[in-house]
Amino acid sequence: MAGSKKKVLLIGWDAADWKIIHPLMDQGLMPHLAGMTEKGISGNLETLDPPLSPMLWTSIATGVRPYKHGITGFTEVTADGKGLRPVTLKNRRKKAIWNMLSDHGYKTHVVGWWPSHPAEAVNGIMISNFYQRAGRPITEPWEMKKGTVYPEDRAEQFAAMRIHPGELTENHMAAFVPKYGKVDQEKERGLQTLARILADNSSIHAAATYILEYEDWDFMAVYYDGIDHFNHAFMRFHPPRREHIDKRMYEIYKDVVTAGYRYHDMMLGRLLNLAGPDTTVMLISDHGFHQDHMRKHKLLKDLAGPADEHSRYGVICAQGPGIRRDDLLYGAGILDITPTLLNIYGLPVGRDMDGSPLALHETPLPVKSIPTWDEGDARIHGQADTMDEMDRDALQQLVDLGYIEDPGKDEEAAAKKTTMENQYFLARSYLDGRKYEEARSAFAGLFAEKPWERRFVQGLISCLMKQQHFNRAEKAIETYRQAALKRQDELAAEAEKKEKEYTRVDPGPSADLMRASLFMSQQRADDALPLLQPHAQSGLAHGKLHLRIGNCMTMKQDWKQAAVAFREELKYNFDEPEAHHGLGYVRLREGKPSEAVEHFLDATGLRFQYPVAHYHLGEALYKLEDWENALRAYRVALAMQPGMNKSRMRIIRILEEKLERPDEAAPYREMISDPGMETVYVVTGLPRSGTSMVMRMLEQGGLGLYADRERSADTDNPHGYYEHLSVTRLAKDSRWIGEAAGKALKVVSPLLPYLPPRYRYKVILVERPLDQVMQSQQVMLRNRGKSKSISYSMRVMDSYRKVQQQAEDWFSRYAQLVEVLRLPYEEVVANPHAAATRIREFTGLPLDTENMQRAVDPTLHRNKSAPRQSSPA
Amino acid sequence: MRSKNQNLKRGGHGILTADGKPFDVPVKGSVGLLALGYRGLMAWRARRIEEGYEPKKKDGGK
Repeated sequence: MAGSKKKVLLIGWDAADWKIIHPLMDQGLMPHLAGMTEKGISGNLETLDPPLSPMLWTSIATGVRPYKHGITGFTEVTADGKGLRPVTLKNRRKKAIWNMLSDHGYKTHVVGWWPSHPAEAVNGIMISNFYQRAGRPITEPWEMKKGTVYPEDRAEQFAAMRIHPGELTENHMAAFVPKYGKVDQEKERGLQTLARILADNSSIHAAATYILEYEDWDFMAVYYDGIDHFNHAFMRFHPPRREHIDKRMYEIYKDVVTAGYRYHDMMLGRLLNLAGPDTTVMLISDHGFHQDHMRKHKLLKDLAGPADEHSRYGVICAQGPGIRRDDLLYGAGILDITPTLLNIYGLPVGRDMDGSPLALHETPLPVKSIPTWDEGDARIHGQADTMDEMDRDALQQLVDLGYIEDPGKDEEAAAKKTTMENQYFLARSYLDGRKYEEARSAFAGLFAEKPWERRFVQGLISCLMKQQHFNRAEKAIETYRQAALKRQDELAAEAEKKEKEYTRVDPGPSADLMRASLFMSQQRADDALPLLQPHAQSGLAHGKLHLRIGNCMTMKQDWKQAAVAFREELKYNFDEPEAHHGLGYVRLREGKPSEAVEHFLDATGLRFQYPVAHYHLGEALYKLEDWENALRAYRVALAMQPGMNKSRMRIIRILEEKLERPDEAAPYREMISDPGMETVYVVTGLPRSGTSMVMRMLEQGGLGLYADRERSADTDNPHGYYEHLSVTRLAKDSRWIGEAAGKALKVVSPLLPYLPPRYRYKVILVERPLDQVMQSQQVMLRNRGKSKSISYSMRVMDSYRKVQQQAEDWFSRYAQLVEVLRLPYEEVVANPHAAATRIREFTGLPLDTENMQRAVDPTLHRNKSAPRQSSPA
Repeated sequence: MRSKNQNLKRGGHGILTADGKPFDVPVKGSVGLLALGYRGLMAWRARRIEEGYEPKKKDGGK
């Protein structure tokens, strides 16, 4: 509602990164941000993949992933399909926070958001990201593109606040490049780039400060691209100097990045001053930026190349009424910003949003929700559909920044390429959002068009691996290898015609590494290792090669070799948290929890948002009987990954059994009883106890099965086995279980303890006397020629008794998560209707009991004492 | 909401130092003035006009 006292200032600093900010704050060089961290709450803000700013800032403003909001790249094709222009709002399909707040009467202003052209009709002023760009010399008129300012009658006023790079003087340059006099401006463009970044951001700042000072406002969002642009242009010169960086250039430009951050802090000081103490101020960045030895020597050639310099975590810092002071925030992501802003204003969060409100306040704010903020077609209607001169200038700027390739003169070819690139970014967005089928479809289309492109096949096989289509992934890798070889022949022939040199790149190593990933995803360490080790031995610097070898050795439980590999990885990159975690895990399994703790602390220190490392830290501390710290570690793991019930179970055990604080455990128990948790319907029993029969009943009753039919029907199980290959690997890999949620899954009893406690299980235990089970198995073995005997081994029978006991232990240990229906095999056969009814009542699903009982074939039930033929599994 | 004229006081082009004295705006500007935003920019431009200072055509930009 209009006139509310709640005021929020949202400040965007593209690419800001705590790794560089913290040392500057420690030196007193960023006092305003340091003050904010003391007065408020701060933490990392996790980005999305691909980390491309127009996609990310739109996700920040809408609370949804790019495949929902529709902005999928730096550039877009004009409506006629023949031209190219910088991305606009034309394709955005979701409301942004400024639309939502305007709809509710809040005085709302937006300055410079990327993308925000053409400016939308908000309840305030909106200045698009086309505002600040000066594409012409200062001696020429500097027009402003139509649609840059809303309301349009304010355009002239704001045009006068723009600063042209040509206005800047040596006073400005000296603050960033003290040795600016040594720059040969005829040959080097460094100072021009610097002037442009400074002018652009100062223009944005002038407009923003004007609005804050002279307009009524409830919400203000302002976006600065300066840090990102300083980083892309000058981070290579940031200390320490790396060997390949020219010494003279280093001496000239080494201070620019630091000065850029300091300038942003000065601007922040002004914004805070204008906002006043009663305003909630939130400072965020869309991603971080590698500033240490992780800086790239050379960028990839594709359009996402510059994104290779971006790191996974940006920043968030917030201060204001009710916000926790001098505190840290964990687990925040860019998708949470819009839900958080809505929550601050007491407005409902869209249930179609992908993020959720952050707990910034001392007293948590109540959260309301609605199905969606987007009734009807929320598509934004812009103006220009063809490219004009100003678009060309803006496009050139993206080229200059390295964000896009020069489209050249063939605009149609450039448009086609952009369509393909944006499809690639969309595919990555689907993959990041775990929309594997959509991602697979998009990658498959790209791969069909250019099967020689490694990034396309890599995306495709990532999806296929997630979907457990291992054979198809294998074929895709081979198709890529052959296509890449053929493509190299073509390029070599072309080069020869032009009498140019051409260097072939063998696709073999890439294919090997992809195959290794494929094998690792199937827990086939023995197959992956021969593909990885030659590259490690040859010293080829493939990313995280030793880490992957370490992970293979961990799968093999070869702790010694795993430790060797993780240490090798750390020699290359001591800041690799996964290698520290791997080493900690090895020590934990070797029974050295004290050492493990040290490594887990290293891992979590490097990457705090690392729930499994916190969990293992808890395990190590648990072994050391350090209950309070173990409790803390489990709680952090759980906060980061609320579905991690194994942490929850450990917390309950510590609180109830070790610390005797059962009252504190109660909320955790309640969480485990949450009816919203996903359920997997498990059919279990010993092999040959009738589990396939019950699976068939469930199928006939209308419940979907998680089964792959890899194992076909035979005389032992004439209707089939209803199994899934993944179950056989359950002990090593349970990540796929989520795909079985809501479906029936057959799991033989010995594997039950490997079911991860992050789901609820309704287990139908088919019980059959052990001697009958053994006789049936013996018949099956004879049918397969594996045994000639008609008697069975008592040793095996003893071992099955142990298995049954382990299953009972698992049932009682996870009683909060596991419900069991005990279904005697003989009763099912004797009275299928009663069994079907019991199953329906147990599952609570509207199963068709008539069909279910027809699935039971009583003729399969053989004489118990004379097992000549087998009965169903 | 404040009036622009209230802020553009005589001397210092509306910019005051921390101890409340008029700030001597440099004709060639400063990063500090830019960081002040609208007010800093206007003060700098006003000073330039007073001094008849025109930016050099080759100072940055295209």
